[in-house]
This record gives sequence, structure tokens and C-alpha cells, in this order.
Amino acid sequence: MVMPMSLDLRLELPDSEPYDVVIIGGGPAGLTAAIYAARANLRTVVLDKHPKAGALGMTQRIENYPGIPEPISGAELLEILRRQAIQFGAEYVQAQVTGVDLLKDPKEIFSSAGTFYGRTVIIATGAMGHKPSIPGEAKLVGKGVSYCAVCDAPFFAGKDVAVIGDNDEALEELDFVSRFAKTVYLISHHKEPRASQEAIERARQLPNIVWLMGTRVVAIEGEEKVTGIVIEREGVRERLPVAGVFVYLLGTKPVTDFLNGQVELTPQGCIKVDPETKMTNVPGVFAVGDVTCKEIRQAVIAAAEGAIAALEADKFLRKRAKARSDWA
Amino acid sequence: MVKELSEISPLIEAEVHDFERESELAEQYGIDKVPAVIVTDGNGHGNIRFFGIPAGLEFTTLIEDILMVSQGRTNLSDDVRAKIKAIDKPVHIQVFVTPTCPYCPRAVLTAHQFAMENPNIVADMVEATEFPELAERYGVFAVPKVVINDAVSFEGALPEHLFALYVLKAVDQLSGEERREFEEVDRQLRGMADDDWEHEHHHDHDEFEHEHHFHRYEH
Repeated sequence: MVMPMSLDLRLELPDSEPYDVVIIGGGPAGLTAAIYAARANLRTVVLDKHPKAGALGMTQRIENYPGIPEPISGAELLEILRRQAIQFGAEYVQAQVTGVDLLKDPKEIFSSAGTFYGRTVIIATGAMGHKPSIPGEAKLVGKGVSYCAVCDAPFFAGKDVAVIGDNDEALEELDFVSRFAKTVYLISHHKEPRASQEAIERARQLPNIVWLMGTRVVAIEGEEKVTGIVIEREGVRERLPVAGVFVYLLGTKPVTDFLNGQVELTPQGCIKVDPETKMTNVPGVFAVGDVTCKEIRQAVIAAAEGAIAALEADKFLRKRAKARSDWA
Repeated sequence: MVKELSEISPLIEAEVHDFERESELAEQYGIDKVPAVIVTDGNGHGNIRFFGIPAGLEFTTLIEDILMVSQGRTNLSDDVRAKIKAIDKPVHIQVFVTPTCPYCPRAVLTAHQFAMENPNIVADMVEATEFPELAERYGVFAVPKVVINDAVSFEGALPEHLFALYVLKAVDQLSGEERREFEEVDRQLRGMADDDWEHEHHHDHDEFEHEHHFHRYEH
């Protein structure tokens, strides 16, 4: 029997037109790449987890960025770079990239704001990733230790949990966790949270938070699942029974988890690139800034690398277009 | 919700069934819990399923599934498609999610694409908070968690070629090279414990170094 052709019945949406350049990371490297890519008339989008995240976003005061003689905060400098990129036509989307498929053509970038398609990708995610470092933490990932409150907070409804960390991201996640949990212990070894004033104010309004500042978590306990944590404050240790631990510590690890091994890394976990072109081992995928591990970690160096990658991406796209037209 | 969708487009038809009164139909489709949604073109195998409401971020997955079934094709790469099509044993993929999890829709869609390509594969989204007893049974505290044939599991949204390795592992159809790749990926996903030992004694080291950076920026 011949099946009827179903062509006319298709619910067809136009294929999402791929971007020429998808930039992952909205720090100085990513935003400068966006300025150069957009200025070269490439269709460009920047995916940024948080406008105040990252090494520059959290810097209080910067005085040595060329062309900016008055001291400004890192967040202000980023705001200027963002404006400049958008002026040239780049799109800026606040979204957490959750995964990529770099084998596909166009390459696929999955994020909390949906899937983006890119002919080229520039990775500029920096090096403030946290490596499991609290005793018990690594063993209990997925068993009560979580790095994603919006994913996992519902599992701790009516239970006591801990949030470790005190930056803007941690405080925003705290808000979400507090809607489910009974009591939330907010733990930081700083005396005051290292977050924006407005984020702190908002967190202070939440009713079920116990603020444990100047406190370290020295162990996460449990076998099959988390049963508690050991904290230390002013030299005194204490055990707190909790069912979940949300960890928002910052570190110095290059942020590459979302790549799932699709790009070659050095033994130190940094993305390996061609020093001239900043291209990774995957054609059309570039990496710049701290994620490639710099001897000197400075905003101006990251920015310069962003410019190189954007121009190389442009070259890559032209070459490919030329190859195609020659063939046709 | 499904009815409302069917009102938007004449190409979408919603059938609502009663689990209690239509137990035969439920059994035919292997529906053992409700609420359940099956996306099918009517000729399909009923192997693309949602348990719990595909709400929040999962609503996108429902729409993408409808498009996929309507168009009769997946967006899988040729390589992955060939591997999935070659599976000749029954596979049951359960993807545990919460409606607010940004990593989850991709995992569900990948599982549903596998089911679309091969009738031996049944792929379920399971909304973990609606089925706490199942979440408990599989030890789900973090999502997405993917459980295949009750034997193989992983957490996180893996790209389709790595997800496929776990499916092949569950039916013991990994080639030599794939087995090596699988072991490498699985070690990485589980292997964070190794780093733990290395760093156990300097657990504040991370944040300390980070503060150091502030100063280096502030010349």
C-alpha cells in the first residue's frame, strides 16, 4: 500500500536562521569579539550568564584599561563594551549555556533561552569555575549537592538546606531555593556578602534564611545522600543537619563543563587554541581570554584576543563561502 | 493544555482518555501512571511520552515533539541516526525533569528523537515532583537524570552522540571504539571524585586565588 504523501500536512516552521557568530560569555573577550564581528557585518549574538558575573564583572575598581583614564568598576566597563557591541548590531541575550553540539552544521548552542545556531562559535567563558573542593562534595554531587537551584530546589521542599556562596548569582538562586525549603542557611566565609547592594537587600527580605557569614563549610556529610554539613565559625565547629547543599563558590577553573569534551583541552583543563588564530581543534570554534589560561590575566588582553577571534571567524566564513562558490 | 493546542492549529488533534475507564487502551500504550501525554501521528508507536505535565520549560519540548512527529523526521546527525536505528532490543529511556530546569528540555528532546527513529525505543519525560515515589526509587536529587532500562544512568544534558553511547551501552551494542569513548565520558561525568582527594586539604584555595585576581586588576 502506498502511504499518502504527508507533505501538505506538515506543520512547518522556517528553520531558525543561524548566526554567523555565537559568542559564549559576556566578559571583555566576548564583548570585544562581538564589537568586531558585528562591525564586520556578521550576524552576531552574545550569550551571557549574568552581566555582573566573571572576573571583570566583579572587579570593584579598574584604572589601567587603555582609554578609560578615570577609575570605574568592572561592571561599568562591561556596560560600556556591551553598549558598543549592541550599537554595531550585535544581539545580547542573558542566558546560561547548558550544552553544545559542535559536530552539527550549523553548530548548536543550548541555553536557558533556547537553542542558538551558529556557523562559528567563540568561547569566552573565563576561568572562575569551581572545582569540587569541600570534603564530601564530589562524592555527593547529584545526591543532595547541586550546582543548579532552579533545576533541583523542588526536591528539597519542606527541608533544611544550605547555600554556600555570596555573589549575585548565589543570592538570586537563594531566592528560588527559599520558596521550597523550610530553612536555608546562607554560608560565606566573608563578613559581608560580595554582591550588589540591591541583591543583598532582596535577599534580606526573604523570611526563612539564616545568615552565617564569616563561616566555612569544612565537610559535607552523607553516604547515599546528604545528611548534613560541618561548619566552622571563629574556630568553633558545629554540625548542621541539611538535606541539600547548593554550591555557588567561585574558583579559578576554566569554565568548560558545557562542552562535554567536544573541544580539546590541555592537561590543566584549559582550552587549547592555535596561538595565531585562536581556533580550537574544532574548525570554526574559537576560544579566547581566561578560558585558554593566560600567563597574565588582564581585561585588555582578553579583549584583544576577542578581536582576533572575531576577525578570524570572519576569515573562516569567507573562506568557506568561497570554497562553496568555487565548487558550485 | 493539549486541547488548547489543538484549537490553535487544525493539524493538531487532541484525544483525551480516561485512565480508569479505558484501562485496555492504557495498557495497549503501556501507560502505567497519569497524567500522561503521548505525541503520535496516529500511525506511530506511542513511544514518545510525557508523564506529568509538560509545563514550564518542558512546554517547548512538547511543541518541538509535535513539529518533529508532524514532519516525520528528526534533527539527529546521520552518524547518530544510523547507530540508533541499528538498535534491535527494547529500550526504555526515562528522563527525570523539573519544570524550571534549563538543562532538561534538551535531554528530553534527544530521548524523544531516538524514539522517533526506532520503535524499539520508548522515551519518557518524567516530571520528578509529580512522581516522587519514582524519583525516590531512582535516587533523583538532580535533574536532568536519565535512566535507561533501569541499568544505565547519567545526570546532565549530554550532546546526542554521547547520549547515544549510553543507550548503546544499555543494550550492549557498543563497538570497541565506542566502548573506549563511553568509558572516557562516563569517567569524566563520575570522575570528579578523583579531584576531591587532591583538593581536600585546601578547600578555601579556590576563593583565595580568586580574591587575588581582584588585586591584580586594580593596578
